[in-house]
Amino acid sequence: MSKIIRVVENGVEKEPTTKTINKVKLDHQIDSNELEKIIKQ
Amino acid sequence: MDDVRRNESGDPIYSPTLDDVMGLYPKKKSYKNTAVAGQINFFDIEVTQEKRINGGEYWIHNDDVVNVNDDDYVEFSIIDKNDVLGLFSTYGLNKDNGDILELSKFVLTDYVKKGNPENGYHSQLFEGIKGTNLVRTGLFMRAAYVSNGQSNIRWIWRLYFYE
Repeated sequence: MSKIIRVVENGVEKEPTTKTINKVKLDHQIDSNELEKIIKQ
Repeated sequence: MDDVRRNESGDPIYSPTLDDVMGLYPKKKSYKNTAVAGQINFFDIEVTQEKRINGGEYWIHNDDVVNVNDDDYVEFSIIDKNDVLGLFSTYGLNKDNGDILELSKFVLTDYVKKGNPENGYHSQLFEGIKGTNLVRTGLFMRAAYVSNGQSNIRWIWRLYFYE
């Protein structure tokens, strides 16, 4: 059974969900210096 | 030739030290949360002022350390929930679907120790006086407590940063 995914955003409890979080790990896809340049834009 | 460290593109590499903090102020802030037993608990804090994160730590409440499961763990990451960086389309994500882009994860599967019930449990997640990570306004800091236990866990996590 999947765990309930609980999100508390800025101290406010969001609706619990069992939905899998859709995420992309960029750790190995974008060089950290490259990412910093994107952030600075 | 200057003495500034640069990457391959010639951009300076910022690595504040105790001697040079780029005119920023070193700060720390704590957050107090309760992780619900048996759930994946995400505690998201929106970044309202650009900052450079350089470390963190956390404590488990001393009354709750006996309830820590051996498989409980903590993680810390920076995420984009609102397409602040404009990268969602590149990765096929859609904000309206609740998609989240995880930009960087500094702490991975850091198992929580039971510690001493008299003192609680303290973990120094990482020390960063040799480097910092820039976090832009609008991104979120995500502290996660993944519980496999039967009881809720009260914890405090503290962030070290320059602002």
